[in-house]
Amino acid sequence: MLRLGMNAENRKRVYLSCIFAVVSLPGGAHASLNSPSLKLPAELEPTTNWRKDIVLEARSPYALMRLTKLKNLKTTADTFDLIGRDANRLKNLGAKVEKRLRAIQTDKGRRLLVIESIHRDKPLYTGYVNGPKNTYAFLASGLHLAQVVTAAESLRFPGDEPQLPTETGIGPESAMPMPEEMRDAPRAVSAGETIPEKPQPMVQTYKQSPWPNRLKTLFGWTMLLLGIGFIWRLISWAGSRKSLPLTGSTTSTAAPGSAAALTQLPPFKRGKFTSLTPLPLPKKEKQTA
Amino acid sequence: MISEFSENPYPGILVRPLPKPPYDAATSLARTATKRTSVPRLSGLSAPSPTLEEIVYSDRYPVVVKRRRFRFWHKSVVRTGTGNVLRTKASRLPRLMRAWGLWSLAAAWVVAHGIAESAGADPLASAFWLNSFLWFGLTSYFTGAFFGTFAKKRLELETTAGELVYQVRRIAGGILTSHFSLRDELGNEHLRLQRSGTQFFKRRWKFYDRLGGAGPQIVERSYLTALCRKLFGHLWGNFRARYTIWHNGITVGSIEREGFTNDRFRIEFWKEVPTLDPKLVATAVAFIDHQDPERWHPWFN
Repeated sequence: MLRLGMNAENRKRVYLSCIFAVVSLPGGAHASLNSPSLKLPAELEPTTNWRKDIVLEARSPYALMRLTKLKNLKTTADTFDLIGRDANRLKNLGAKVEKRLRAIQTDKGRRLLVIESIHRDKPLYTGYVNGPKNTYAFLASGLHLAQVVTAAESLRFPGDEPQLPTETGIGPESAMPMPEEMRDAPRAVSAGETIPEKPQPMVQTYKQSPWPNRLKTLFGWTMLLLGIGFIWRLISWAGSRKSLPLTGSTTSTAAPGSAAALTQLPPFKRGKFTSLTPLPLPKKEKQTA
Repeated sequence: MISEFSENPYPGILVRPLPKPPYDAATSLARTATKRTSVPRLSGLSAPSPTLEEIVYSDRYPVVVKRRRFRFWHKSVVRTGTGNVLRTKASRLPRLMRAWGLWSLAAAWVVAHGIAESAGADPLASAFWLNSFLWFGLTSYFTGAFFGTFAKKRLELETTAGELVYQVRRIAGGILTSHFSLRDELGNEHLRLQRSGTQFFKRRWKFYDRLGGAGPQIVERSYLTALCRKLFGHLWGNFRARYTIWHNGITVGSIEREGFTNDRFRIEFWKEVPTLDPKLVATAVAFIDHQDPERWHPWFN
């Protein structure tokens, strides 16, 4: 193989070809993907434009991912809304929709939320009582409606008047009273603050899991590391080649036009066996004997 | 050959003969012995003359061991300094089974997520795919782990015609320390290999002769490279192990890595270890590559 001398001109050519190869990658991809052989024939092209979102959902490989994301972002309020709309739709179709959720106001002004469930053809109820700050606390489950209401009536909240002692002696009076500092009293209303008349919706805000973002970040760092490693390996490998004097290569090149560059013989191996290089021959001695 | 040598017109100089496979050590020895006795040393300034072992070993080394990739078996091609081409073959089945098992379990994981995402999926089809991937994955992984742990490890060096030259067998194994035996085709033991310890900071393989005498050691060059390999994998071959061959307190040779991803071994000696056959060293190196392959991902070795 003829070994060409690597002068500045050839080195420039090598560098430029490397740079062009890297720079023109997107261009090459675009050109090849837009090539006529890859395009649909004219009769197969749709004449009317599709809607952009439909195109996205139908054709994009990200459609599934996007739908999943939408589904994950659906809040509890949306779910309730969907249920309500579903009930309305069923009603419009003529179905009989029973209300299984009842809001009851007790005598003491407590709001009681009762959910009806069917257990062996017998309706049973689960109750939630409203507490301070528009929260609802679980009261009882698996009872009749009257029992739930009685349970709510017999509740004693912090700040209520003391009840009469019960017959058994076991009741709210015999229980150890909650310490004052642990009682959940409503916060004092500061000046200028208005209390909304309607209770705020109990919507659980969707808390996104941190793991997808963490995995994305990890993947990004991994890709960066792989890229750096590849460039490092590329440069080291190019330096280890004898024809590309990017890094230390001492023995392989010859000046262009010199006798060494013009000979077809390969240069001496760069090796550790210095004893193997041919030694200068001594003068021939006469063999007398 | 000897008569040809006696006609050498330059009696003061050793002329390196062209290597003729198969290499005949006895002839070379006899030739050099006659040379040494017949020629007096030059007085004063003299050119460095190669010794016998330098001639012998420069003929036999460097040995290049190249792994053939994307094969079902672990195969490598050995090219000795005399131009002989040999090949090694070892089983990769347990490792492949473990890999298939892991991939299959990953597929089962994906399928499970798909089922959880889509409530309207056909339960029969979902269960079929989930069970298939899950059971194939578990079976394959644990079978591979079992055989990888308890099956005898074996690597063979053979000629291109398929004739067995040397083979490596495991003779004793523990959790951290394993002993391997290099035998010829007749079963005669030539060398013993010991891999001991966690090899965390540096890889170190010890050679023993068949009587238990300590032979050379193959020691990894850089602990920094070793640690980086633990963290990042070999990273396009940047963190692959390079070795030093150490014997009797001195460095007698090296095992370098070549190629774009540094996956080739180049074994070179600059000092004699007379008992070591280069084919034995090549077998040992191919076996080390089979035992402790560098990986793309973070790993323990």
